[in-house]
Amino acid sequence: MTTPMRQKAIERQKIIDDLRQLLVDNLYLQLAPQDIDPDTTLFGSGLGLDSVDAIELIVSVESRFQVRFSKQPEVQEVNPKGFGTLSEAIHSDEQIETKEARQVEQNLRIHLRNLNALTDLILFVRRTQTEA
Amino acid sequence: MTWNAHFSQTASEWVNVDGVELPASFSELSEEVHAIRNRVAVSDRSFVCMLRIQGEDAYDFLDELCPCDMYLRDGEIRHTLLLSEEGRTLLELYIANDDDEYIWLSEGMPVADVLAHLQSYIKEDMDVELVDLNETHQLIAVYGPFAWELMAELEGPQIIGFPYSTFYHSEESELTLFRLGKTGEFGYDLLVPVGAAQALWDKLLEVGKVFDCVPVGFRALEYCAMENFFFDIRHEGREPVTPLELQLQWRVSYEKDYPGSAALKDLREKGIARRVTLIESEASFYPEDLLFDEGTLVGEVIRSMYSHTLGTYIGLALIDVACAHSGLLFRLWSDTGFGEYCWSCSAPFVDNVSLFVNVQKHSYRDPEAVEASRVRASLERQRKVEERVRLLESIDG
Repeated sequence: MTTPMRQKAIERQKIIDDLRQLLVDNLYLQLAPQDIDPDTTLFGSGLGLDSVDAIELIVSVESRFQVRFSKQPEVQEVNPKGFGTLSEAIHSDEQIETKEARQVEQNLRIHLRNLNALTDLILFVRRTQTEA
Repeated sequence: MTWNAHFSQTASEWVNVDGVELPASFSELSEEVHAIRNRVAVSDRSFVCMLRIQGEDAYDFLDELCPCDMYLRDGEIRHTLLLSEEGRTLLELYIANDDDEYIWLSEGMPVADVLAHLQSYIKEDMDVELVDLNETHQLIAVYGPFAWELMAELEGPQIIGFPYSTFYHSEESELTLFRLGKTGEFGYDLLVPVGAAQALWDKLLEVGKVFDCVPVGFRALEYCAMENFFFDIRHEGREPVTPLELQLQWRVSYEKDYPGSAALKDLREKGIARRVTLIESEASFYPEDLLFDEGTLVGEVIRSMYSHTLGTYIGLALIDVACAHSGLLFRLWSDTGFGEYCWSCSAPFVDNVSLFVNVQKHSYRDPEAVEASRVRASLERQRKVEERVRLLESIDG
Protein backbone atom coordinates (compact mmCIF):
# COMPACT_ATOMS: atom_id res chain seq x y z
CA MET A 1 0.00 0.00 0.00
CA THR A 2 1.31 3.46 -0.88
CA THR A 3 0.62 5.79 2.02
CA PRO A 4 0.96 9.60 1.82
CA MET A 5 4.28 9.28 3.68
CA ARG A 6 5.53 6.66 1.21
CA GLN A 7 4.59 8.96 -1.66
CA LYS A 8 6.53 11.78 -0.04
CA ALA A 9 9.47 9.42 0.50
CA ILE A 10 9.41 8.41 -3.17
CA GLU A 11 9.36 12.06 -4.25
CA ARG A 12 12.30 12.84 -1.95
CA GLN A 13 14.24 9.78 -3.09
CA LYS A 14 13.93 10.92 -6.70
CA ILE A 15 15.26 14.38 -5.84
CA ILE A 16 18.15 12.91 -3.85
CA ASP A 17 19.05 10.54 -6.68
CA ASP A 18 19.06 13.48 -9.11
CA LEU A 19 21.17 15.58 -6.72
CA ARG A 20 23.68 12.75 -6.31
CA GLN A 21 24.04 12.43 -10.07
CA LEU A 22 24.34 16.20 -10.39
CA LEU A 23 27.17 16.25 -7.83
CA VAL A 24 29.05 13.58 -9.74
CA ASP A 25 28.40 15.02 -13.24
CA ASN A 26 28.67 18.77 -12.60
CA LEU A 27 30.96 18.98 -9.60
CA TYR A 28 33.10 16.00 -10.60
CA LEU A 29 32.96 14.25 -7.24
CA GLN A 30 35.04 11.09 -7.46
CA LEU A 31 32.35 8.95 -5.85
CA ALA A 32 29.64 6.60 -6.97
CA PRO A 33 26.29 8.40 -6.53
CA GLN A 34 24.98 5.84 -4.01
CA ASP A 35 28.00 6.46 -1.77
CA ILE A 36 26.83 10.00 -1.00
CA ASP A 37 24.70 9.70 2.13
CA PRO A 38 21.72 12.07 2.51
CA ASP A 39 22.97 13.76 5.69
CA THR A 40 26.68 13.88 4.85
CA THR A 41 28.07 17.39 5.01
CA LEU A 42 28.82 18.53 1.46
CA PHE A 43 31.36 21.17 2.42
CA GLY A 44 34.56 21.16 4.45
CA SER A 45 35.31 17.94 6.29
CA GLY A 46 32.50 15.93 4.66
CA LEU A 47 32.74 15.74 0.87
CA GLY A 48 35.18 18.64 0.78
CA LEU A 49 33.30 21.03 -1.52
CA ASP A 50 34.26 24.72 -1.40
CA SER A 51 32.53 28.05 -2.04
CA VAL A 52 33.15 27.87 -5.80
CA ASP A 53 31.47 24.46 -5.82
CA ALA A 54 28.58 25.97 -3.84
CA ILE A 55 27.84 28.50 -6.58
CA GLU A 56 28.06 25.79 -9.25
CA LEU A 57 25.74 23.64 -7.15
CA ILE A 58 23.15 26.43 -6.80
CA VAL A 59 23.22 27.17 -10.51
CA SER A 60 22.95 23.49 -11.42
CA VAL A 61 20.07 22.92 -9.02
CA GLU A 62 18.16 25.95 -10.33
CA SER A 63 18.56 24.65 -13.85
CA ARG A 64 17.87 20.98 -13.16
CA PHE A 65 14.87 21.45 -10.83
CA GLN A 66 13.42 24.63 -12.39
CA VAL A 67 13.47 26.46 -9.07
CA ARG A 68 14.45 30.07 -8.52
CA PHE A 69 16.40 30.58 -5.36
CA SER A 70 16.87 34.23 -6.29
CA LYS A 71 13.15 34.78 -5.70
CA GLN A 72 13.60 33.92 -2.03
CA PRO A 73 13.51 36.97 0.29
CA GLU A 74 16.89 36.11 1.78
CA VAL A 75 18.43 36.15 -1.69
CA GLN A 76 16.46 39.04 -3.20
CA GLU A 77 18.14 41.55 -0.94
CA VAL A 78 21.43 40.83 -2.69
CA ASN A 79 19.88 40.53 -6.15
CA PRO A 80 18.72 44.10 -6.75
CA LYS A 81 18.73 43.74 -10.51
CA GLY A 82 15.97 41.18 -10.16
CA PHE A 83 17.37 38.39 -12.28
CA GLY A 84 15.04 35.43 -12.55
CA THR A 85 17.63 32.89 -11.55
CA LEU A 86 21.11 33.00 -10.16
CA SER A 87 22.21 31.34 -13.38
CA GLU A 88 20.95 34.32 -15.41
CA ALA A 89 22.64 36.71 -13.00
CA ILE A 90 25.99 35.00 -13.25
CA HIS A 91 25.94 34.73 -17.02
CA SER A 92 24.96 38.36 -17.51
CA ASP A 93 27.75 40.13 -15.70
CA GLU A 94 31.20 39.14 -14.49
CA GLN A 95 30.86 41.51 -11.53
CA ILE A 96 27.85 39.61 -10.31
CA GLU A 97 29.73 36.37 -10.31
CA THR A 98 32.32 37.70 -7.93
CA LYS A 99 30.05 39.75 -5.72
CA GLU A 100 26.39 38.91 -5.68
CA ALA A 101 26.75 35.22 -6.43
CA ARG A 102 29.07 34.84 -3.49
CA GLN A 103 26.59 36.65 -1.26
CA VAL A 104 23.78 34.43 -2.50
CA GLU A 105 25.94 31.40 -1.85
CA GLN A 106 26.63 32.57 1.70
CA ASN A 107 22.96 33.21 2.33
CA LEU A 108 21.99 29.82 1.00
CA ARG A 109 24.92 27.91 2.52
CA ILE A 110 22.86 26.80 5.51
CA HIS A 111 20.48 25.03 3.11
CA LEU A 112 23.27 23.41 1.12
CA ARG A 113 24.74 21.47 4.03
CA ASN A 114 23.65 18.08 2.82
CA LEU A 115 21.34 16.38 0.35
CA ASN A 116 18.43 16.19 2.79
CA ALA A 117 18.63 19.91 3.59
CA LEU A 118 18.91 20.74 -0.11
CA THR A 119 15.87 18.56 -0.83
CA ASP A 120 13.97 20.43 1.90
CA LEU A 121 14.88 23.70 0.17
CA ILE A 122 13.90 22.52 -3.32
CA LEU A 123 10.50 21.32 -2.10
CA PHE A 124 9.99 24.54 -0.13
CA VAL A 125 10.81 26.74 -3.13
CA ARG A 126 8.68 24.64 -5.46
CA ARG A 127 5.72 25.03 -3.13
CA THR A 128 6.14 28.78 -2.69
CA GLN A 129 6.49 29.19 -6.47
CA THR A 130 3.29 27.20 -7.01
CA GLU A 131 1.44 29.22 -4.36
CA ALA A 132 2.66 32.46 -5.93
CA MET B 1 48.58 18.94 42.06
CA THR B 2 47.29 16.25 39.68
CA TRP B 3 45.18 17.18 36.67
CA ASN B 4 41.93 15.88 38.19
CA ALA B 5 42.66 17.43 41.59
CA HIS B 6 42.63 20.74 39.73
CA PHE B 7 38.87 20.23 39.21
CA SER B 8 38.06 18.88 42.68
CA GLN B 9 36.56 22.16 43.85
CA THR B 10 34.65 22.96 40.68
CA ALA B 11 33.40 19.71 39.10
CA SER B 12 29.91 18.72 40.26
CA GLU B 13 29.82 15.23 38.73
CA TRP B 14 32.43 12.80 37.40
CA VAL B 15 32.31 10.21 34.65
CA ASN B 16 34.57 7.44 33.39
CA VAL B 17 35.07 7.65 29.63
CA ASP B 18 37.21 5.02 27.92
CA GLY B 19 38.91 4.31 31.26
CA VAL B 20 39.59 7.96 32.12
CA GLU B 21 37.96 9.80 35.03
CA LEU B 22 37.00 13.35 34.13
CA PRO B 23 34.40 15.99 34.99
CA ALA B 24 30.96 15.11 33.65
CA SER B 25 29.69 18.57 34.58
CA PHE B 26 30.55 21.74 36.44
CA SER B 27 27.03 23.23 36.56
CA GLU B 28 23.54 22.56 35.19
CA LEU B 29 23.61 20.86 31.78
CA SER B 30 21.36 23.52 30.25
CA GLU B 31 23.73 26.27 31.39
CA GLU B 32 26.76 24.48 29.97
CA VAL B 33 25.01 23.85 26.64
CA HIS B 34 23.98 27.52 26.52
CA ALA B 35 27.61 28.56 27.00
CA ILE B 36 28.78 26.33 24.13
CA ARG B 37 25.95 27.52 21.89
CA ASN B 38 26.25 31.24 22.59
CA ARG B 39 29.60 32.17 24.14
CA VAL B 40 32.79 30.20 24.82
CA ALA B 41 33.41 27.11 26.95
CA VAL B 42 36.51 25.13 27.90
CA SER B 43 36.50 21.42 28.55
CA ASP B 44 38.80 18.55 29.49
CA ARG B 45 39.15 16.09 26.60
CA SER B 46 41.75 13.83 28.22
CA PHE B 47 39.59 10.77 27.42
CA VAL B 48 40.79 11.01 23.81
CA CYS B 49 43.49 8.46 22.99
CA MET B 50 46.43 10.49 21.67
CA LEU B 51 49.32 8.75 19.94
CA ARG B 52 52.24 9.74 17.77
CA ILE B 53 52.90 7.13 15.09
CA GLN B 54 56.39 7.37 13.65
CA GLY B 55 58.98 5.34 11.82
CA GLU B 56 59.86 4.62 8.17
CA ASP B 57 56.74 2.51 7.69
CA ALA B 58 54.23 4.68 9.56
CA TYR B 59 52.37 5.59 6.35
CA ASP B 60 52.19 2.00 5.08
CA PHE B 61 51.06 0.74 8.48
CA LEU B 62 48.23 3.29 8.70
CA ASP B 63 47.29 2.83 5.07
CA GLU B 64 46.74 -0.88 5.67
CA LEU B 65 44.72 -0.26 8.83
CA CYS B 66 42.64 2.85 8.18
CA PRO B 67 39.55 2.83 5.96
CA CYS B 68 40.23 6.28 4.50
CA ASP B 69 42.54 7.51 1.76
CA MET B 70 45.72 8.23 3.71
CA TYR B 71 47.10 10.88 1.39
CA LEU B 72 47.27 13.90 3.72
CA ARG B 73 49.11 17.18 3.38
CA ASP B 74 51.33 18.22 6.27
CA GLY B 75 49.05 19.86 8.84
CA GLU B 76 45.87 18.22 7.50
CA ILE B 77 43.52 16.09 9.61
CA ARG B 78 41.25 13.36 8.25
CA HIS B 79 38.13 12.03 9.96
CA THR B 80 37.82 8.28 9.73
CA LEU B 81 37.05 5.15 11.75
CA LEU B 82 38.63 1.91 12.76
CA LEU B 83 36.51 -1.09 11.80
CA SER B 84 36.19 -4.71 12.85
CA GLU B 85 36.45 -7.42 10.20
CA GLU B 86 32.61 -7.39 10.18
CA GLY B 87 32.67 -3.71 9.22
CA ARG B 88 31.39 -2.48 12.62
CA THR B 89 32.84 0.68 14.15
CA LEU B 90 35.52 0.04 16.79
CA LEU B 91 36.89 3.57 17.08
CA GLU B 92 36.18 7.08 15.92
CA LEU B 93 39.49 8.33 14.60
CA TYR B 94 41.17 11.55 13.50
CA ILE B 95 44.52 11.17 11.76
CA ALA B 96 46.83 14.15 11.31
CA ASN B 97 49.94 14.32 9.15
CA ASP B 98 52.76 15.94 11.13
CA ASP B 99 55.68 16.13 8.71
CA ASP B 100 55.27 12.46 7.70
CA GLU B 101 54.74 11.34 11.25
CA TYR B 102 51.14 10.94 12.31
CA ILE B 103 49.10 12.13 15.27
CA TRP B 104 46.31 9.73 16.18
CA LEU B 105 43.27 11.00 18.10
CA SER B 106 40.67 8.32 18.80
CA GLU B 107 37.60 7.73 20.93
CA GLY B 108 35.83 4.54 21.89
CA MET B 109 38.50 2.40 23.54
CA PRO B 110 40.96 2.81 26.47
CA VAL B 111 44.51 3.79 25.45
CA ALA B 112 46.00 0.43 26.49
CA ASP B 113 43.47 -1.42 24.33
CA VAL B 114 44.15 0.84 21.35
CA LEU B 115 47.89 0.23 21.71
CA ALA B 116 47.40 -3.54 21.93
CA HIS B 117 45.09 -3.47 18.91
CA LEU B 118 47.57 -1.48 16.83
CA GLN B 119 50.54 -3.63 17.91
CA SER B 120 48.73 -6.69 16.61
CA TYR B 121 48.75 -5.15 13.11
CA ILE B 122 52.45 -4.16 13.04
CA LYS B 123 54.30 -6.71 10.91
CA GLU B 124 57.71 -7.95 12.04
CA ASP B 125 59.59 -6.17 9.28
CA MET B 126 57.82 -2.85 9.79
CA ASP B 127 59.60 0.16 11.30
CA VAL B 128 56.71 1.65 13.28
CA GLU B 129 56.81 3.22 16.73
CA LEU B 130 53.72 4.07 18.79
CA VAL B 131 54.26 6.89 21.28
CA ASP B 132 51.57 7.35 23.93
CA LEU B 133 50.96 11.10 24.21
CA ASN B 134 48.46 10.63 27.04
CA GLU B 135 51.46 10.01 29.32
CA THR B 136 52.91 13.42 28.58
CA HIS B 137 50.06 15.65 27.39
CA GLN B 138 46.53 16.80 28.10
CA LEU B 139 43.88 17.81 25.59
CA ILE B 140 41.85 20.94 26.37
CA ALA B 141 38.92 22.04 24.22
CA VAL B 142 37.78 25.60 23.53
CA TYR B 143 34.35 25.63 21.89
CA GLY B 144 31.69 28.22 21.09
CA PRO B 145 30.68 30.83 18.49
CA PHE B 146 33.31 33.19 19.92
CA ALA B 147 36.02 30.59 20.63
CA TRP B 148 38.02 32.09 17.76
CA GLU B 149 38.06 35.43 19.52
CA LEU B 150 39.38 33.98 22.76
CA MET B 151 42.01 31.99 20.86
CA ALA B 152 43.04 35.13 18.96
CA GLU B 153 43.67 36.83 22.31
CA LEU B 154 45.97 33.96 23.28
CA GLU B 155 47.65 33.09 19.99
CA GLY B 156 47.25 36.17 17.81
CA PRO B 157 44.88 37.12 14.96
CA GLN B 158 46.37 34.57 12.52
CA ILE B 159 44.23 31.92 14.21
CA ILE B 160 41.06 33.47 12.79
CA GLY B 161 41.74 32.11 9.31
CA PHE B 162 42.78 28.69 10.56
CA PRO B 163 40.69 26.15 8.52
CA TYR B 164 38.68 23.31 10.03
CA SER B 165 40.43 19.90 10.06
CA THR B 166 43.93 21.36 10.19
CA PHE B 167 46.47 21.83 12.96
CA TYR B 168 49.73 23.59 13.71
CA HIS B 169 52.41 23.71 16.36
CA SER B 170 52.55 27.10 18.03
CA GLU B 171 56.05 28.51 18.00
CA GLU B 172 55.41 30.88 20.88
CA SER B 173 53.70 28.45 23.23
CA GLU B 174 54.16 24.71 23.67
CA LEU B 175 50.76 24.04 22.15
CA THR B 176 49.62 22.00 19.22
CA LEU B 177 46.32 23.50 18.05
CA PHE B 178 43.78 21.34 16.27
CA ARG B 179 40.91 23.13 14.56
CA LEU B 180 38.34 20.48 15.41
CA GLY B 181 35.31 19.96 17.60
CA LYS B 182 31.99 18.19 17.52
CA THR B 183 29.58 20.86 18.73
CA GLY B 184 28.86 22.62 15.43
CA GLU B 185 30.37 25.80 16.86
CA PHE B 186 33.92 27.08 16.38
CA GLY B 187 36.24 24.59 18.06
CA TYR B 188 39.88 24.18 19.00
CA ASP B 189 41.53 21.22 20.73
CA LEU B 190 44.77 22.20 22.43
CA LEU B 191 47.41 19.52 22.99
CA VAL B 192 49.51 20.78 25.87
CA PRO B 193 52.35 19.22 27.92
CA VAL B 194 51.09 17.93 31.28
CA GLY B 195 53.27 20.40 33.16
CA ALA B 196 51.68 23.39 31.41
CA ALA B 197 48.07 22.14 31.32
CA GLN B 198 46.79 23.58 34.60
CA ALA B 199 48.26 27.00 33.86
CA LEU B 200 46.69 26.96 30.38
CA TRP B 201 43.27 25.97 31.78
CA ASP B 202 43.42 28.83 34.29
CA LYS B 203 44.61 31.28 31.65
CA LEU B 204 41.78 30.36 29.28
CA LEU B 205 39.23 31.03 32.02
CA GLU B 206 40.96 34.25 33.06
CA VAL B 207 41.29 35.67 29.53
CA GLY B 208 37.87 34.22 28.78
CA LYS B 209 36.11 36.28 31.44
CA VAL B 210 35.36 38.95 28.88
CA PHE B 211 33.61 36.26 26.78
CA ASP B 212 31.71 34.86 29.80
CA CYS B 213 33.71 31.67 29.29
CA VAL B 214 32.91 28.78 31.65
CA PRO B 215 34.20 25.21 32.10
CA VAL B 216 31.88 22.51 30.79
CA GLY B 217 31.93 18.76 31.32
CA PHE B 218 31.79 15.70 29.11
CA ARG B 219 27.98 15.55 29.24
CA ALA B 220 27.61 18.94 27.54
CA LEU B 221 30.06 17.96 24.78
CA GLU B 222 28.22 14.69 24.18
CA TYR B 223 24.93 16.55 24.16
CA CYS B 224 26.00 19.22 21.66
CA ALA B 225 27.50 16.57 19.39
CA MET B 226 24.11 14.86 19.27
CA GLU B 227 22.31 18.14 18.50
CA ASN B 228 24.59 18.48 15.48
CA PHE B 229 24.45 14.83 14.37
CA PHE B 230 28.14 14.22 14.97
CA PHE B 231 28.83 10.51 15.13
CA ASP B 232 29.07 9.16 18.68
CA ILE B 233 31.03 5.93 19.02
CA ARG B 234 29.58 5.32 22.49
CA HIS B 235 25.95 5.39 21.31
CA GLU B 236 25.03 4.72 17.68
CA GLY B 237 28.59 3.45 17.17
CA ARG B 238 27.77 0.46 19.38
CA GLU B 239 24.72 -0.57 17.36
CA PRO B 240 25.17 -3.68 15.21
CA VAL B 241 25.52 -1.62 12.05
CA THR B 242 28.23 -0.42 9.66
CA PRO B 243 29.24 2.97 8.21
CA LEU B 244 26.67 2.41 5.45
CA GLU B 245 23.72 2.45 7.85
CA LEU B 246 25.36 5.18 9.94
CA GLN B 247 25.70 7.58 6.97
CA LEU B 248 29.47 7.52 7.41
CA GLN B 249 30.47 6.38 3.93
CA TRP B 250 32.41 9.64 3.53
CA ARG B 251 34.88 8.33 6.10
CA VAL B 252 35.69 5.11 4.25
CA SER B 253 37.12 4.18 0.88
CA TYR B 254 35.95 1.39 -1.42
CA GLU B 255 39.19 1.66 -3.39
CA LYS B 256 41.51 -0.12 -0.95
CA ASP B 257 41.71 -3.08 1.41
CA TYR B 258 41.65 -2.73 5.20
CA PRO B 259 40.06 -4.58 8.14
CA GLY B 260 36.33 -4.57 7.43
CA SER B 261 36.61 -3.58 3.75
CA ALA B 262 35.34 -6.93 2.41
CA ALA B 263 32.27 -6.75 4.65
CA LEU B 264 31.54 -3.17 3.55
CA LYS B 265 31.94 -3.94 -0.14
CA ASP B 266 29.65 -6.94 0.23
CA LEU B 267 26.98 -4.90 2.01
CA ARG B 268 27.30 -2.08 -0.52
CA GLU B 269 26.66 -4.62 -3.26
CA LYS B 270 23.59 -6.08 -1.52
CA GLY B 271 22.23 -2.76 -0.25
CA ILE B 272 21.31 -1.80 3.30
CA ALA B 273 17.89 -2.39 4.83
CA ARG B 274 17.87 0.49 7.33
CA ARG B 275 19.57 3.84 7.71
CA VAL B 276 20.14 6.08 10.74
CA THR B 277 17.75 9.03 10.47
CA LEU B 278 17.19 12.08 12.66
CA ILE B 279 13.82 12.33 14.39
CA GLU B 280 12.21 14.99 16.57
CA SER B 281 9.02 15.15 18.61
CA GLU B 282 7.24 17.35 21.10
CA ALA B 283 6.67 14.24 23.21
CA SER B 284 9.34 12.18 24.92
CA PHE B 285 10.49 8.92 23.32
CA TYR B 286 13.14 6.37 24.16
CA PRO B 287 15.49 3.78 22.63
CA GLU B 288 13.58 0.68 21.48
CA ASP B 289 10.39 2.67 20.86
CA LEU B 290 9.05 1.80 17.40
CA LEU B 291 8.05 3.96 14.44
CA PHE B 292 4.97 3.22 12.36
CA ASP B 293 3.57 4.54 9.11
CA GLU B 294 -0.18 3.81 9.08
CA GLY B 295 0.14 0.46 10.83
CA THR B 296 3.36 -0.62 9.15
CA LEU B 297 6.49 -0.89 11.28
CA VAL B 298 9.20 1.19 9.60
CA GLY B 299 11.87 1.78 12.27
CA GLU B 300 13.19 1.72 15.79
CA VAL B 301 14.58 4.48 18.02
CA ILE B 302 18.21 3.93 19.00
CA ARG B 303 18.93 7.18 20.83
CA SER B 304 16.95 10.02 22.37
CA MET B 305 17.32 13.10 24.53
CA TYR B 306 15.63 16.38 25.38
CA SER B 307 17.18 19.29 23.49
CA HIS B 308 17.54 22.36 25.67
CA THR B 309 18.46 24.35 22.58
CA LEU B 310 15.27 23.45 20.70
CA GLY B 311 12.81 22.68 23.50
CA THR B 312 11.84 19.38 21.85
CA TYR B 313 12.89 15.74 22.07
CA ILE B 314 15.41 14.64 19.48
CA GLY B 315 16.82 11.27 18.58
CA LEU B 316 18.11 8.82 16.06
CA ALA B 317 16.18 5.93 14.58
CA LEU B 318 17.10 3.09 12.28
CA ILE B 319 14.45 3.41 9.57
CA ASP B 320 13.72 1.24 6.51
CA VAL B 321 15.61 2.86 3.63
CA ALA B 322 12.39 3.39 1.67
CA CYS B 323 11.23 5.72 4.46
CA ALA B 324 14.58 7.01 5.71
CA HIS B 325 14.07 10.58 4.52
CA SER B 326 13.62 13.91 6.23
CA GLY B 327 10.27 15.69 6.22
CA LEU B 328 8.12 12.65 7.05
CA LEU B 329 5.82 11.90 9.98
CA PHE B 330 5.79 8.64 11.92
CA ARG B 331 3.71 7.43 14.85
CA LEU B 332 5.69 6.43 17.93
CA TRP B 333 4.91 3.17 19.71
CA SER B 334 6.22 2.26 23.17
CA ASP B 335 5.37 -0.35 25.83
CA THR B 336 2.25 1.64 26.66
CA GLY B 337 0.96 1.60 23.09
CA PHE B 338 0.77 4.19 20.33
CA GLY B 339 1.83 7.69 21.33
CA GLU B 340 2.55 10.98 19.60
CA TYR B 341 3.97 11.63 16.15
CA CYS B 342 7.62 12.30 15.48
CA TRP B 343 8.98 13.85 12.32
CA SER B 344 12.19 13.05 10.51
CA CYS B 345 14.53 15.94 9.77
CA SER B 346 17.72 16.81 7.94
CA ALA B 347 20.98 17.17 9.81
CA PRO B 348 21.80 18.94 11.98
CA PHE B 349 19.00 19.45 14.51
CA VAL B 350 20.20 22.94 15.44
CA ASP B 351 21.23 25.92 13.36
CA ASN B 352 24.46 26.99 15.02
CA VAL B 353 25.06 30.60 15.99
CA SER B 354 28.61 30.15 14.62
CA LEU B 355 27.16 29.95 11.10
CA PHE B 356 25.97 33.53 11.45
CA VAL B 357 29.06 34.95 13.14
CA ASN B 358 31.32 36.83 10.73
CA VAL B 359 34.83 36.69 12.17
CA GLN B 360 35.82 39.74 10.11
CA LYS B 361 33.04 41.93 11.52
CA HIS B 362 31.68 40.52 14.74
CA SER B 363 32.96 40.49 18.29
CA TYR B 364 31.54 39.15 21.52
CA ARG B 365 32.16 42.64 22.88
CA ASP B 366 29.53 43.95 20.45
CA PRO B 367 26.19 42.81 21.91
CA GLU B 368 24.23 43.86 18.82
CA ALA B 369 26.29 41.59 16.59
CA VAL B 370 25.89 38.72 19.02
CA GLU B 371 22.14 39.24 19.15
CA ALA B 372 21.90 39.51 15.35
CA SER B 373 23.64 36.14 14.99
CA ARG B 374 21.27 34.56 17.49
CA VAL B 375 18.25 36.05 15.72
CA ARG B 376 19.40 34.67 12.34
CA ALA B 377 19.81 31.23 13.88
CA SER B 378 16.38 31.39 15.53
CA LEU B 379 14.73 32.56 12.27
CA GLU B 380 16.05 29.45 10.52
CA ARG B 381 14.61 27.41 13.35
CA GLN B 382 11.26 29.15 13.00
CA ARG B 383 11.12 28.23 9.31
CA LYS B 384 11.63 24.58 10.20
CA VAL B 385 8.92 24.74 12.86
CA GLU B 386 6.48 26.17 10.31
CA GLU B 387 7.27 23.30 7.94
CA ARG B 388 6.62 20.82 10.72
CA VAL B 389 3.29 22.46 11.63
CA ARG B 390 2.28 22.14 7.98
CA LEU B 391 3.18 18.45 8.08
CA LEU B 392 1.15 17.87 11.23
CA GLU B 393 -1.81 19.75 9.77
CA SER B 394 -1.69 17.52 6.70
CA ILE B 395 -2.17 14.51 8.98
CA ASP B 396 -5.00 16.16 10.95
CA GLY B 397 -6.66 17.04 7.66
